[in-house]
Amino acid sequence: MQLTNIYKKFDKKVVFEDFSMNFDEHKITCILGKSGCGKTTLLNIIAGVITAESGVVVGKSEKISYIFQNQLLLKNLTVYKNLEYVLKNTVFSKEEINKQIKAILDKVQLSEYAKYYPKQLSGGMAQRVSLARAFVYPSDLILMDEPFKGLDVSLKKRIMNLFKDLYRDNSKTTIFVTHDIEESLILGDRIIVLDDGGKILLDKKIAQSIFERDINSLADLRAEIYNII
Amino acid sequence: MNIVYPIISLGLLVLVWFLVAKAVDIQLIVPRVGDTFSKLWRLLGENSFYLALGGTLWRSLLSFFIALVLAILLAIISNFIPVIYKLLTPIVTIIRAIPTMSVILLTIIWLNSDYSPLLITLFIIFPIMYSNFYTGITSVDSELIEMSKAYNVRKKDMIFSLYLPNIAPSFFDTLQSAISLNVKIIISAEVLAQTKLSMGLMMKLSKGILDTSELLAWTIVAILLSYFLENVIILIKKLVIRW
Repeated sequence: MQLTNIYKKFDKKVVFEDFSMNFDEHKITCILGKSGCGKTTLLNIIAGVITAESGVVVGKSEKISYIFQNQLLLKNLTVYKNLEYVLKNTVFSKEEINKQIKAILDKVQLSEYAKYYPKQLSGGMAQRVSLARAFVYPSDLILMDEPFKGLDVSLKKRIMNLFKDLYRDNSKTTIFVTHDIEESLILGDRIIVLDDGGKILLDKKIAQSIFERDINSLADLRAEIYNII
Repeated sequence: MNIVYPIISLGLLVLVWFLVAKAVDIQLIVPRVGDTFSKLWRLLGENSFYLALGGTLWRSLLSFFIALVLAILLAIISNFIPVIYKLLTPIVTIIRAIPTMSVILLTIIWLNSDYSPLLITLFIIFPIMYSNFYTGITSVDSELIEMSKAYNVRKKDMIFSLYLPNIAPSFFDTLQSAISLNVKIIISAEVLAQTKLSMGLMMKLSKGILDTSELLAWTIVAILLSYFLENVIILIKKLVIRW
């Protein structure tokens, strides 16, 4: 997927000025940057939730999964129904939808909670449902907007491991926006640091797979990011 | 436990009534509790009671549903067409500001006594419903709308799974408060318009013959009618909102 010459402004603030970028397929691209540099705007342009003033998105998948910081589950629907909600407009038959939902709930260890409403779930469980929704949806692209923000350290670790497990089975192209350098070093195949106006401060690929990564070996990269961010 | 407090407070209310009636001791001003309830009991055995109750109930429900349908339709249209919202807002504000009595007196002049209560309720209930429904529709979490769009959810599924359930709690709260207000306004209008087959007319007649205990008996019926209708809405709310 490729973004070419994206120009986007809100009122008078130019968020992207002639921004172009390629995203590697079946890889996780991490986008770092301070608040307000346009990370979420970038995801929203790719998702088609907002449109850019000019520029094109080429090779975008028709179907996109989106994982948000707030899990954004429908409070009036059970866990099962929340997953079904995004699957109704897919090619899956009713039986297939049922099968897929059961399988993904099993993977995220929430099978017993299928009939629970969101308010009956803990924050970690709700985020697992959000991950399940992204992976059960037949998309080629996952957009993640700071999905681990606000989770305590041990919960964050568990959710990130769960993400890796799901990703191992189904390596969709992923664009992961975060402000947390450690998260990017753990999950990124490629790390991009953005500045105001969509200026790219750093663009580095990491050769080590996320499944066999020794985070300590990335000390130099960590220091480099700390210096520019 | 839930039933204990209402029983105590109702008991206290009846006790105060009893004591005041005893102290005043003029049946015309404060009728005795026993007399009022025996009058109520007598009314229950009369055909005219059911005709009046039915007439008021019918007018209440009819005007309520007309206001409801109109408010829902216009709130939805206003949400999708901002110009309509901008045009309707000043009108609704003016209608809200008109004193209830002016509305009642004017509609009695314009319409016959059978239909004026309907129009009066529309004038008073519709603005409340419209404003609340519009707020309900526009307060649906924009992030959930974005999520649904990102996942390419069908419009139909968004309406039934996202919009309507989000609006439902405030929708039912509005209905609950509007329905008893509606009964009160309908009865006021019936009194002034002297609508045939109505509780309002029966109250007016009771007052005319200085039968205060019958007037109070009808008042109790009006309270029970409001209470009943409110509870029907609470029941529907419980059946619909299970999350």
